Amino acid sequence: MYLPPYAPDYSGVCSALFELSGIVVIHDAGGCTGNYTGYDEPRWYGSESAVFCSGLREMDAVLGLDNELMEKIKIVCNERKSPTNFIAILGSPVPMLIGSDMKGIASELEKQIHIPCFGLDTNGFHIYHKGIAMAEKAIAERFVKQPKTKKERGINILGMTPIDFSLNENSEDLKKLLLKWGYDIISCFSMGASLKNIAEAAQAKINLVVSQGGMQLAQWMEKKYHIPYVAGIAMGKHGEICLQKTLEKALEHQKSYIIGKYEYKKDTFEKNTASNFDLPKRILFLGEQVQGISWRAAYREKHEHDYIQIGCIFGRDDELAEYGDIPLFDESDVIKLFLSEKYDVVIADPLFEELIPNEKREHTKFVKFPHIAVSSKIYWDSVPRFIEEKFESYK
Amino acid sequence: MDKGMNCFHKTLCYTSPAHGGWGMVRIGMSVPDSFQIFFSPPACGRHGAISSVLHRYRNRLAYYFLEEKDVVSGGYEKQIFDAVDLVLKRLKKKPRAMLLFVTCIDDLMGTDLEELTLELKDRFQEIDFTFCHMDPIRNDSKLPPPQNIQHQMYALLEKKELKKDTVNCIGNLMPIDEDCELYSILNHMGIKNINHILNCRDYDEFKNMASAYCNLMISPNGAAAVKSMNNTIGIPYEEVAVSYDLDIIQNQYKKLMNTLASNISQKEKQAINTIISYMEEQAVNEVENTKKLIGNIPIYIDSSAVAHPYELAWFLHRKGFLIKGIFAEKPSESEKEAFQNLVAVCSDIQIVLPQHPKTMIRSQDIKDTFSIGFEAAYTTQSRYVLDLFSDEGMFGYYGVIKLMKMMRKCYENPVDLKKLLDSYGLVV
Repeated sequence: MYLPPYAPDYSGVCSALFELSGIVVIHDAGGCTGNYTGYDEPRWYGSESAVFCSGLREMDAVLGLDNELMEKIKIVCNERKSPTNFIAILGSPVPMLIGSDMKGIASELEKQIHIPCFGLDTNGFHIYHKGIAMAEKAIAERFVKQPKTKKERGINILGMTPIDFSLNENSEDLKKLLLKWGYDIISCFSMGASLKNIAEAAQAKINLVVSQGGMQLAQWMEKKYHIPYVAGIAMGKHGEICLQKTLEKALEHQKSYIIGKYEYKKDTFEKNTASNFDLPKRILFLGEQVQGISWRAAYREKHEHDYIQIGCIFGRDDELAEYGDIPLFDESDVIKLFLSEKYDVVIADPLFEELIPNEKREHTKFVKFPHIAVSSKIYWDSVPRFIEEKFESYK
Repeated sequence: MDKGMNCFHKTLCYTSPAHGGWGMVRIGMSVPDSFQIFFSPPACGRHGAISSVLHRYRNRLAYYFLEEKDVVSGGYEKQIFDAVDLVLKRLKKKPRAMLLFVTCIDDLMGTDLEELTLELKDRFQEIDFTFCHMDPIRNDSKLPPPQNIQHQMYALLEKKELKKDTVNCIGNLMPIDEDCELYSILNHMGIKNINHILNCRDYDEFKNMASAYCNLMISPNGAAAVKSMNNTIGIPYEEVAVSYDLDIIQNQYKKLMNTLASNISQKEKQAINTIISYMEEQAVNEVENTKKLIGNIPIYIDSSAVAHPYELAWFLHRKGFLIKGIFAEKPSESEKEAFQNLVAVCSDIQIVLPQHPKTMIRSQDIKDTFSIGFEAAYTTQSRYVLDLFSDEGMFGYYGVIKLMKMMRKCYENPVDLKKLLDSYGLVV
C-alpha cells in the first residue's frame, strides 16, 4: 500500500547501456519508457542518449508486426549522424504476453543492417539489477576480446549505474580510491567507459563488483577469463580499509572474496541474536545488498559485537549474504519483519519509515539512506556521498 | 523538420524530459471519496506510485502486482475480489467509490470487466466500482486513455431528474478560473450551478452532477464522457472546447445562447451581449499590447499547453505574431482547416511530432524564441517559456486575455525550464 514498485529490469538495462553510443529500444506503448526516462534515469534531462520507445499499439501486438518495429529502427539508425555501436531491443509486459521473440527480432535485424543487435527479455516483472546484469553480460559477451597480456594491477568495475550510485561524486570517489591504491582501471561497467575500454576488460587481474547487478558478469568473467572478483565498496574511512585489504588479498591469491563476509555458523548466529544476549545494538540495513554488506564491513571495523542484518529488498544473492540476511520480497515482508523483530537502528530509503509500527518508532532510530530504485526522483538529490572518507551512515 | 502531413509517419518515439501530464492516477483522484487499486505488472505502477507520493495522495492508492503466471494463465479475476476485500478491511474510512485500474495487457487478455463490475457491486453493495484503463497501447484508438479515464469516472453517475439551472464542465482537468466571463454569462442565462468535478466537496455532490441540464465539453478529452452521459443518463452536451480564436469564441457563446437561453428575457440577452462586447474588446487590446511588446520573436506552440495548437497558431499568425513551429500530433478534424491554412501561408513553419527521435537533439544554447508549452521549450531551448499545461483554467475571452498577460509576464521575467518542470511534476 505504501511503497512504489522498484525500478524494473528494463530500466536496469537502459541505465547500463546509457553511455555506450548504441540505440536502445523498449518495445512498449510508452509507459515503460517513461518509467525509465522520468523516474529511473537522473541523467535524462539534457542527454542525447538514444533510448526510444517502439510505440507499440494494439494492432501491432495482435498482428505481430515485428517487421514494422525493425523498419522504425532502421530509419532512426540511418538518420543518425553519429555511428551506432549496437542496437538493443528490450521486452516489456505486452511482448511477454504475446510471446515476442526479442532475440529473434534482434538477430534478423542484425542480418539486415550489419550492426551488433541484442534482444533482451526484460518484461517489467523483475527488478532493475537483473536488467543491469543482462545488459553488462550481453555487452561483455559481444565486445570483450581475449587478452594477449594481463595488466598487473588491472581492475574492472562491474555493476555501476546511477540507480545505485546516484549522480553525485560516488562513482568518481570510488575510482579515485582505486587509483590511489595503485590499480589500473581498465573499464567501468557502466559509468564512464567506452566500448574500447570494455573490449580490453579481460586484461584485468581482478574485478570489483559494486552492486548485485554486477555479480553475473563477474562470475562469467571468472569462468571465462579466470579473473577473480571482490564484491564490495568502500563506505567511509573504515570501509576503505576493508576494501583495500580484501582487494589485495584477492589479487594476491587470485581468489574471489565478498567484503567483510563472516562465515557464520548457525549456532553462533543464534547465540548472537538471542533476545537475552546483551548486545549493544541490533541494526537493520534495508537496501541493495552490496551496499549493505559493505556498510556492515565498515561498521564492524569499529563495533564488532553489534549485530547487523541485511534486509535484501531487491532479492538475496546467497553468495553475498551472511547467515541471517533475509530476502524481503515485498512490503508485507518488511512489515512482518518490523512487527516480529526489534531493531535499535534501521537504515533504509526514507519511504520505508512509514512501515515501522507506531509502537516501535520511539525506540528505533531511522537513518535515511535514499535509493533511486525505491524512491526515484523524490530523494535522488539526497543520496549521500557514501564512498568519501568522512561518510558515516549514522552517529 | 518536415512540414505538411507527411511529417506524421510512424517512428520510434523519443520521451522528452518535458513530456507528460497529470497521469491517470491524478485524473482519477478527482473523484471525491474514492480509492484506487491498480492491477498491473509491477513496472507499470512505478510512475503513478512515485507521483502519488509527490502529489500527496498515496493514502488513496493501492497496487496489486500481477505475477508472470497470472499473465500466462490469462486470468486473475479472483485476486481482484481478494484485493478489494483486503483493502477495504485495512482502510479506516471506507471509500464511496473504487476506481480499479488495468493496463495494456488486459486489452489483449480480454478480461471481462463489465461482468467483474457487476459481481463487485453485488458483493460490496455499499461501494460503487468502475474499471479504468492505463493503456497507452490504445493511444491511437477511438477511445484513447485520456478520454477513457473521464468516460469511466463519469460512468459512476446514475440517472437523475435534470435541473434547468445546472450545467457541468467536462473534460477540463482544472475548473475554469472564477474570473472568466462564462460564469456571469451563464448566470444571465439562468444557470446557477456550474459544476466541475474538482469543486465537488464529497461523493454525493459528485453524484449530483447527474442532474445537470447540459454538459459543456471544455476539453476534447471529455468527448467520450459527454457522449456516453447523453446516451446513458440523458444529459445533452455542447462542444465548446477551449479556443483562443476570437471568432470561434463568439460562435461558442452563440451556441450556448441557443441551447441554454432560448427563453430568457431581452434584458438578460442585452446584459450578455454587453459582457461579450466588453470582453472581446479587452481581448483585442491585450493581443495588440502583447504583439507590441514581443514583436517578431519566433513562437513555438505545443500540444501539451493547449488542446488546439494549430488553431491558436493560426489565430496568432493572423494577429501578426511570428509562428515558427508547432509541436503536435496530426491535427484533429476540427483543426484541419487551421493546419492547412498555416502550411499554405507560413512557408517555413516547422511541424514537429513531439516524440520524433530528432526532437532529442536540442539547440546548443538558449535561443531568443518563445515557447508556449514545455516540450517545445525543451527542444528549442527557448529563453521565454509560457507555463501553461492543458489549457488549465482557460475559457473564452478571459482565456485570451490571460494567455496574453502570461506571455508578457514570461517575456519580462523568463523562468528556468527545469525549475518549471520540477515544480509541475509531470507524469508520463
